[in-house]
Amino acid sequence: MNDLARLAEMAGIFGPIGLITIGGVQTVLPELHRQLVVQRGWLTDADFTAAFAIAQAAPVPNILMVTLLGLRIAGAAGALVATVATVLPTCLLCYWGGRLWHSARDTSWRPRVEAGLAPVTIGLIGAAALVVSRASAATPASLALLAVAAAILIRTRLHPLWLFAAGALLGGAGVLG
Amino acid sequence: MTPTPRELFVGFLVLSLKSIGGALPWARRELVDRRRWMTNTEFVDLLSLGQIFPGGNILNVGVLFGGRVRGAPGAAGAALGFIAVPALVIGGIGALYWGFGSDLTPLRGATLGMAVVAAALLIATAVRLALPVVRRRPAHALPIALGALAAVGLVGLPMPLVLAVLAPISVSLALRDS
Repeated sequence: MNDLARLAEMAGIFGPIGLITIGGVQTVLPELHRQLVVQRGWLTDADFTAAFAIAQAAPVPNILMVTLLGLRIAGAAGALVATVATVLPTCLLCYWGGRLWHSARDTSWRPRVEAGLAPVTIGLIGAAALVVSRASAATPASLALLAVAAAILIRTRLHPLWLFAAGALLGGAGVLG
Repeated sequence: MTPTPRELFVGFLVLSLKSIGGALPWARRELVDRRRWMTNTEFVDLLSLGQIFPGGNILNVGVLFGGRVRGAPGAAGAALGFIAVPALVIGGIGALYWGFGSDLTPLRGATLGMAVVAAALLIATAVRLALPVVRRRPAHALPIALGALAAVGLVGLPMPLVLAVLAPISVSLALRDS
């Protein structure tokens, strides 16, 4: 496939995915994985999980994971296309929608619509957890790390960065391989 | 005081580069406490609106706030500050990693370890979000959440399809409930 055709195809994938992020980029992780790894084979599981991990641990907004995915698929041009295609439509929608919304701000159905969407969002984040777990935790040691880290994060208020550091140390020492 | 588009660019750039582990807590501190661009109530208002629209929540807060105080240039300033420079930063990190870092066994292992923790963070997020919602209305929330999880995570169905089916059902259940 020539480069321009691939970039156009990428814009056609990332654009719509940006527009269905409800409650953060986590909810579209499974869809990104399905389209880029499973269907097209543009990325390996290792690429996908590395992009997610780096975007989480780096001091940037989580949504910029798409920049890394684009970079890995098609270099700097791919990074640009993935970022703009994901972010620009949502910004335009929010800009114009925000002005319209002003007139309808005190409607009582709004919180109930949000409450209605919450279970869907939660299920999608659960699906994202499943996809990333399956792609990253393949050995008994990494499954143990997954279970322990999840338990700590659910039960304590420890900052996730400490666990990222611990995970990096364990992985770097070859314990998880 | 009303920030100019240039100040919006700088403000949201600083905020973006601080957002380790999510931008939300930093956003409140930066916009309300430090820069005093808005009150806490205004921030909560903008955030709840920003969460309704697709895309990054804090990015949307920037677009809404910038647009409100300075029109299109204000919205563009905030959005560019939040995205453009941080995209270069993360792109640089990615280029280093895939350029030679992923050939080094310890670095590849370290990234794998972080990915496992990132997966654990997703599990914890889902559980923490689910507990209060499921407790409040188990008959509604549990089947919908598990249905979305299974359809997308296990069966691998396209998310737009799952959203198109489950979102209307879930919202109409919530509207009938209350």
